[in-house]
Amino acid sequence: MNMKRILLLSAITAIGVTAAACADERSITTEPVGALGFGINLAKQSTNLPRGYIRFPSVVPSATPSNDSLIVVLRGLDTLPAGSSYAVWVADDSSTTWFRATGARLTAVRTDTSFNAAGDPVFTPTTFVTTGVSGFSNGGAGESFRFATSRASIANVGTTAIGVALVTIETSASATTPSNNRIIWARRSERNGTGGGANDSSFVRFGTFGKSVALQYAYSVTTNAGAANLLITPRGRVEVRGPVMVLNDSNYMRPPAGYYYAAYAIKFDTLQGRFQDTVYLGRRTTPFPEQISLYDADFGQASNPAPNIVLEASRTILGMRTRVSADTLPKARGTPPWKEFGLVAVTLESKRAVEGKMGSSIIMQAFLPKSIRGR
Amino acid sequence: MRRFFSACALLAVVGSAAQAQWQPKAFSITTRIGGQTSERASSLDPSALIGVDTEYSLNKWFAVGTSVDVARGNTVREDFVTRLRYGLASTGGGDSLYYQYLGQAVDRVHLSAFGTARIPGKRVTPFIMGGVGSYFLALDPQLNGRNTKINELMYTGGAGLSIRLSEKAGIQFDARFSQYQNFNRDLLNPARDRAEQATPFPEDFPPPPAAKNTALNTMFTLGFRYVPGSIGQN
Repeated sequence: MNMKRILLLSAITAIGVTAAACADERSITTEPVGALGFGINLAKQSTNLPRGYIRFPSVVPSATPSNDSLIVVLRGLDTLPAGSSYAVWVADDSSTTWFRATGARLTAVRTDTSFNAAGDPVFTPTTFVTTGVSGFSNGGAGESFRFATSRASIANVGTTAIGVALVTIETSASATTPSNNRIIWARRSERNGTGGGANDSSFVRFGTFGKSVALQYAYSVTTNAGAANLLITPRGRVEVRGPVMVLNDSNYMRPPAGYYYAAYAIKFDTLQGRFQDTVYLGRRTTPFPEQISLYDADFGQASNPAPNIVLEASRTILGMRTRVSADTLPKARGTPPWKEFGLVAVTLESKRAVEGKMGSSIIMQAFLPKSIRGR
Repeated sequence: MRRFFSACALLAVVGSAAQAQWQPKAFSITTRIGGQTSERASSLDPSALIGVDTEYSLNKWFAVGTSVDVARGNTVREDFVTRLRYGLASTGGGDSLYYQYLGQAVDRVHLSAFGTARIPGKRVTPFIMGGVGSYFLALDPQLNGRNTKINELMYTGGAGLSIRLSEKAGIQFDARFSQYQNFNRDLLNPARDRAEQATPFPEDFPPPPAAKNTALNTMFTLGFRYVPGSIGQN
């Protein structure tokens, strides 16, 4: 090969290598990628958590019926499936022996909401009264219950100084000892009244009952205003980017035994102002990348699904995540993908309730903007 | 570039033939042009480079020299996702976010001292080389909001072929490896230390390979060698 050819070949090779190394987009250093994202903070709601109060009968048997009544008033309960029921138990302050409250008069009030011609909400209460009740399974956001019985109707309680009243979820209508789903309770020692007679009542705690105050795990406490005070302030964010919706949130308390966190999206007609549907987004998981299911992160579980996220000592969950694509949800296949979805909620659900049917306890919620819901 | 090749050709033509270029105690200068690619974990895009080697032959087989390479490349922008945020998430309506790959130009300079071992041939001379020096990366201070420079140790090594065109001129093909020490990929991100790098959609933006504190570069260059002065008189 002569010198000219070598030089020519060399020059072509050099130019080729240099050209290959110099891409024409080199001067562009930023590049928009994918769909625009919309983010909204989740705000604490803690609405419709189980709440209420319990009025204790007098410490010793009384001849005055009004002083010897046990009255349990509750709201925010979930509807339980067939075969399960809420039951009420009493014991002394040390929970030595439990006695099931039976023969009660149950007054259930369901409040339905409708809209009049002017668009204003109209609340219509309907009352149902049942006697001889030892348990009940109805629930829902608009239902309240008054379970009233007397010392005389509680078998074998005798002269026991009733110090604790407990509400459990039972799978047997004739259970004689409370199950481990001990979700609502009140102690006479933590009462709000002055003691004795009609004033001897206490707002309930919702959580996981323990034999002593030190052992109990209170998730929320009913306040004097009658609302449930969630004893922590979670925080988080929803972000929607094209068909993908992601919830990242943190700082939750562990669910009470028998409960778990779930995520729901709520579809409503923004023109009519009416709710249309709820769409289950699934059980919550630990943050990316592990994304371990937190279904069994409730308090008292024998094994912790994610010890680095679900903390035993502080009884908290450091972070949770949900990622879902509208492509996988038949009800979310619109244009835009999340058309008419106005709310995203993190809910507390009972494992005894039907999964996928949104319960009444909304812990956190975000209101999606028009850019997402499309109108 | 055309002038450069013409000059090289002229050098080759005017060089006298028949004498070997590997005389002891002779200097040579090699101008090089080519490209370099860096290992994926470095987040450095391939780039063109130019370089100059100055070599002093100790004897027929060994030489020492210095090398300077200059390149202006880009970072792998897909490795640096950031967000432009408008609005407040805590207010009604929330915020809007534009996702962007954020790249930037990188000026790269390699300075090294090296030694060469070769097996002189009549026309083709294979060689190997190795050395040590430093690399210098300079990023746009305006884009980064601060001065961003990296100047650290570098090892280099490689092999190639020299082809004699005349007594004073030749061409050279070589492949070299240089390894940056104490390399910090985070410094290539203009949005480093800012919360907007965090994206809630990691599945949609796969992360780059795990960062390393070294970066291996592979360079392929074509060089034009010139032996100035009278052979053997330097």
